[in-house]
Amino acid sequence: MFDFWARTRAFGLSIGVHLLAAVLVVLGTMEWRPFRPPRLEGLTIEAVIVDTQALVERRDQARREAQLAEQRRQEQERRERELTEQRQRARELEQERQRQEQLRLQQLRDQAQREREQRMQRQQAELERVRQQRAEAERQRKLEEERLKQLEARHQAEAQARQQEQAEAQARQQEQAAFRAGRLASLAEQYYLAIQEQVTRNWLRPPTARPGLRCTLRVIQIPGGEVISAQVTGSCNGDEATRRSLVAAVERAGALPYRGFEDVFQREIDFVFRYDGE
Amino acid sequence: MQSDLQVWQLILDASWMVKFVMLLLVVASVASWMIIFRKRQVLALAERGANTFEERFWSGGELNRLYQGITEKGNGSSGMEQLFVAGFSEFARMRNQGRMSPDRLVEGAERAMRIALARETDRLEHHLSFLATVGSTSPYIGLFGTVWGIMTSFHALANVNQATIAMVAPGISEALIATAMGLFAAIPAVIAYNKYSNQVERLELRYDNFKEEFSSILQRQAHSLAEE
Repeated sequence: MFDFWARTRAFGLSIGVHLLAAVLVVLGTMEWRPFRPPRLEGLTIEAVIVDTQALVERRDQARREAQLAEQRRQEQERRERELTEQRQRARELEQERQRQEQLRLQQLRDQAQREREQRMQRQQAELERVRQQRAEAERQRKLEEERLKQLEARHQAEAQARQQEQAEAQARQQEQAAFRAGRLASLAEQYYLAIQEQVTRNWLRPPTARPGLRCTLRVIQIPGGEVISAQVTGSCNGDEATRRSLVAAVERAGALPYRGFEDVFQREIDFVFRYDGE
Repeated sequence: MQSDLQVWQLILDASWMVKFVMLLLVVASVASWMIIFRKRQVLALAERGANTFEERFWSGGELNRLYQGITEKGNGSSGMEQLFVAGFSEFARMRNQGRMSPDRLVEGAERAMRIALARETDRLEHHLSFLATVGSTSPYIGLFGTVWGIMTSFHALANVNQATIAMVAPGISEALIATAMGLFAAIPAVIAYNKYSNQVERLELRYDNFKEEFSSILQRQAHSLAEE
């Protein structure tokens, strides 16, 4: 008995707890907005109900009137069109006539023109022929002239070449001569130097001889350099003793240099003895 | 009353599987709450009975008188009283059967008390396992309902070209109610289970202690009887 009541009581309490929980859930979800399944929203059409009968009658009436007006307008147009067409035809006839006339005239003019042109062409052709002949002659002449000129030019060129050749030969000769002269000049200088040296070697210098001595000596020699005679000629700035000593020196040397100086050898030679101090 | 309609509307609109799950959860919840209340009462009674009996027992009265008092009271005896009754009656019966060694006497009394203790423990622990089961499985059951609901609501979405959240949201919301219910059933069950099992353990310990103490008293008595 006790057990049964206890169980019933427990069951009641349990149910009570769950009811409480349910109430709490309901209260807790009070502010939920109800779910609305998404629905397709239909198009809204605005419409005004009108009395269609009257509308139809009015429309028919209007249409009839419009048709009448249209017919009238078309009639008018047709008449106008006919009128204009008649006028047009007359004008066209006139134009046609004029055109025929013009055509005839034009043909006549063309004929004349053509004949004139043909004539002119013929003349032109004649002229052309003559001109060509003349041009041909001219060309021929020019050709001839050209040939002549060429010939002349060739002659001239040949002459020039010859002249040039001659000039070159001359130049060569001159050059050779100059070269030889140069060589001879230098050889002569050497010759004089050699003589100077020879004489100096054999010179017994007197005490009166001073540096700066210049004395021109004339020596007669024979091929081979052997001295025949020697004497002082021309200017000499030394005293008598010096002059004698110089002549003696030449004579003592006996022979002047000869080998190697054959080209500049002279039987009678004047040279300037120089003494500038030892 | 749009608002309260809609929660019920959700539940009623749910698919049959979700409905079944919800029903199961409601039943489990109701049952577990029943057990909670029932156990609370039983354990409170046992505790109170133990308190009063220990007070009486240690107040130094005659054991025979105490035994008489309890047996006269009859059915409504608490656990500790039953323990005492079992031990003392067995002791008395063995003593009346003739000469027996004091050890045997005490042994018999102890055995009787052990049996009574086991029975009492069983009575206290009865149905607690149900609470444990509800506590551990109802979230899963609720989750199952939710998953099923979401499955169906997505399945319904399969043929739609332009899916909007508004199309799935009601279905998911409705399915989630199952989870909520599962949690609602599980949480009190787990709490109650922990509390009650702890309480039962403590009671058991208390009974055990009493049993030991009482058997030592009986032993003393048996030896004094043997010396007479």
